[in-house]
Amino acid sequence: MKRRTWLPYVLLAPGLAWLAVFYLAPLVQLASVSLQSPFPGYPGYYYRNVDVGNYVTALGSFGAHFGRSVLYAALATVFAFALAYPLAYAVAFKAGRWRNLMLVAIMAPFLTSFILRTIAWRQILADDGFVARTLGVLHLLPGERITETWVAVVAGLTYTFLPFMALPIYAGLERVDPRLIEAGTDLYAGAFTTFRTVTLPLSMPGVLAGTLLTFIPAAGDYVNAELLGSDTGTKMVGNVIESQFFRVLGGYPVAAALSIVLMGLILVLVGAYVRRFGTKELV
Amino acid sequence: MSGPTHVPGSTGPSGPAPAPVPPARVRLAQWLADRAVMATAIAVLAYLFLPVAYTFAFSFNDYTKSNIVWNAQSSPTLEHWADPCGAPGVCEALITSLQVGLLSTLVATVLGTMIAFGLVRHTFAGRRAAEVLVFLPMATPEIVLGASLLTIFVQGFSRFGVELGFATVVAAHVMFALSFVVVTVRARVASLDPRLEEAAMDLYAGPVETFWRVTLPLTAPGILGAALLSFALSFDDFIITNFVSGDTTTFPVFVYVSYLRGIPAQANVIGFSMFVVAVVLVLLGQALVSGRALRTRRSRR
Amino acid sequence: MRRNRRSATGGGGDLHLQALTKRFGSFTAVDALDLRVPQGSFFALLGPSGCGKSTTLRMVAGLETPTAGRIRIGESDVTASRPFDRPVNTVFQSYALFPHLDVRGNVEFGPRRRKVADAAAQAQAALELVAMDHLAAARPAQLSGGQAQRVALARALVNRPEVLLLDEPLAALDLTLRRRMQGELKRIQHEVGITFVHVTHDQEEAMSLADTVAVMNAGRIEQMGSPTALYDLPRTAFVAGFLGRTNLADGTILGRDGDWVVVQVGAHRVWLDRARCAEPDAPARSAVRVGIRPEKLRLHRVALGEEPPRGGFTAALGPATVVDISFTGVSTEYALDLPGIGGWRVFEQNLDIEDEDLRPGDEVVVSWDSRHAFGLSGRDEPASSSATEEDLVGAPGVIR
Repeated sequence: MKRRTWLPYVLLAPGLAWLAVFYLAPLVQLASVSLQSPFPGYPGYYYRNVDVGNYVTALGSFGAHFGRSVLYAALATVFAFALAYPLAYAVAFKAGRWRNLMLVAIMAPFLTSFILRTIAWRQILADDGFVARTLGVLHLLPGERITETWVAVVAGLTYTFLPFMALPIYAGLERVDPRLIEAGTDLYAGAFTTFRTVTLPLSMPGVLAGTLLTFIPAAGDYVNAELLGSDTGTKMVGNVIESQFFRVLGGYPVAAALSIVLMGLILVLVGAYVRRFGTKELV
Repeated sequence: MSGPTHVPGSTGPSGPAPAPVPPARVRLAQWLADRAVMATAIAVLAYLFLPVAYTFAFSFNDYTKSNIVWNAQSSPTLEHWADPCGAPGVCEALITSLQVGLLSTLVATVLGTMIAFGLVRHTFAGRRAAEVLVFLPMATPEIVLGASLLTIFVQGFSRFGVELGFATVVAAHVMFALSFVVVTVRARVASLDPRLEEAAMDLYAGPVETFWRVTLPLTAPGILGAALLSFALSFDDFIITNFVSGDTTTFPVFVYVSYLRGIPAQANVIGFSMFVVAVVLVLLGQALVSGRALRTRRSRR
Repeated sequence: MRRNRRSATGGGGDLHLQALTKRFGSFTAVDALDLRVPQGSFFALLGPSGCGKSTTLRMVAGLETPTAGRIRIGESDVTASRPFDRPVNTVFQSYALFPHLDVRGNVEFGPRRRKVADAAAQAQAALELVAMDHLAAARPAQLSGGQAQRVALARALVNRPEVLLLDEPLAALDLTLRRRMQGELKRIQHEVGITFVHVTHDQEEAMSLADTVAVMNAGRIEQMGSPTALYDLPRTAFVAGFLGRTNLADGTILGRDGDWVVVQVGAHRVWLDRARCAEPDAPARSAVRVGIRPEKLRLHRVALGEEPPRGGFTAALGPATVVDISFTGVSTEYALDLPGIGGWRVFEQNLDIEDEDLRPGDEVVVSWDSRHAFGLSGRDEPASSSATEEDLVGAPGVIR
């Protein structure tokens, strides 16, 4: 098999060509657009340039949006982890014959459109809904409402990306040999100590993958902020990019600059994170 | 992300001899902890299903303008279920989504499986670079993918006659599904014992026959899982599609756009039906697999 | 080996390796191996892990390409042919049964690929041969280790290869099952008459199964011969240490006395049969290593005034101190410390009940019949470091 050295290239060429044309080339184009200048007097037309001003605008005017994107995504990742870990743990070790059914249940909501489910959250969290009214009666709702606040946006992000957190953690836990955990119980006696010293470290690769698969799309999301957030105070970078592309005439260069900065920001965060925790599971 | 396709086998080896029975206090704590974990898990599952239930409930809503607020004045109606294509455009959008999903799944699964085999089975110059290129789309936020595709379709590829529409949506979906296919299939191929293929070669199967009779059947569950994942990602994608779809309307785009104007309950009918169809399909598949296992176990006796 | 050679057919289907070499980078796994396995014989390649025996097997199977050298089966050169073109089949380590096919499907796999007309009947016959026909519809996952082993054997044998390769076929089985399968293997080999090449690190397995055993070390064959010949007269310290236990003593050659080599060991003088020396023509004053098996030794209690018999072929060393005694029923094993020579072991059969048992700390003299000793090269390193404790369990003549 190894004698045919051309075979791997034949296997890889079509797929990698696809990625080159529809991933790499568009990114290069995006970078080039981010340096273009709007053609004076002809809105919607650009000329090739090295205009760093788009980046100045991107960071100067929309810095807060970047902050929110990172903050909301980080919060959603933490919450998703807190919810997903017990779920994945229960499926992997406690579910017994219900295991397959629970796995299907984690994936099933994917199949109802993500937009429909987000709209449903808007209805669930609505001002006259059960959740808002209960919290209101308990005086736990200072602003008198949940929708149109950052709480709703983070809740929506948490919900949307929870399966992306739960499934890799499950896959990681599933690979853990139950005998190791038994050995841990044998050596440490305490169930919690066993969890902290044996199970959790062994499931870290899954947690790492889940964190990235939650944080990255959450940081770039704009649907939750659009449907659940307010018109001003909770917009994320994604919303700005979307509106610059579709609603602002001549907005392409600034939108492209925003995208490039977002991408760079995420690559830096992911890089630091992966460097800290290792990357074997991902690539 | 090998998780979504994982079909667990038996619950592992039966452990060693039971440890000495711990004191009652420890056993009670253990019992409580087990119950607490399970209760939390069920609560989280309920949380996952709550919006689905809402979608289902609102498919019976007798609304006037937009299906956002429950109409308490009127009793629930079945008219949206009786005529799921009643709202203009909703079924066209569904058909477009199915077409995009099937086509992009087919292409992504074939290309991704080839890459997975190439990466696992061969060492060659540039392998590391290929791995990074496959990984990067997963580490790129969808909005950046969508934005970059939009700029190149509009400013770069337009000179070749490319216009936003069905084809660009499929191209984009193949691109982002490809990485997930590679990761999923790769895990399966890597866990395949190379001795099985050597045994096939030893038993007079040539390379082509070895692939069709041993390699492919043994990696098929992984490939099938990758295809399902790929279809689900495509069918549910909104952000990238919204950037590159032009006048083509997929189902998520239809829902998003109509949210601003007044969402028809038929969208709820279709969304919930897709959920039911998929769950039934998955459960049927599971039953089929476990039924076969049961039959062979019986025939052994 | 020689008794099996079919000289009449000119070695018709012999497996013949010529200067076979395999290098992985700078590491030489198999080093210019020359070997002829007569048709129809049961041949064992024995050696510690990493000695190159599995690589040799994989080259014969066609799963590894030799760096140099040739592989012939009978008159045909198969060096360059692909695995599926060779009249060779393999029983893989841990069996490699196809999990997606049932037992019958596994056994029929080979005949179907060769487009044999009565594949089903042949598979049935092969399953009957290994007594597995009652489980033909089972999946490999449902089989026990011993059952899977039989299916793997049937799957290979059904093709009637010229050579059957067995790669540690019994390693995954527990001890009792392993002994039983050894008997089965031997019976089946007798029935089918196919050349078996069996790779193992278990010396007892190799010696009890094979007509001929080749002991491999570091990519080379150290010694080859019948199990009795290998045990009785090892030619290197590695072989002496890998097959059974050996007591070794370093000495210096004093000179020659007819057919005998006179050796100085410490303060003592011992004799070696020239025919039993690895280097029979070594000159005086050169180093030599004297080897003697533990069961060939006699103990004489110093405290009781016992002495080795004088004259004849008797040689003796001592006094030595008894360090440890373990009684194993049929025999008693003594660990001795011979000052200036090292630790020796002695096995004494429990022929009669003695009241005056030895105790640790007692002084003894050991003696043996010089015709039992053998001489090894003085530069040779023994295998005791590479042979694991597991390898030594149950060695012939070693009773624990």
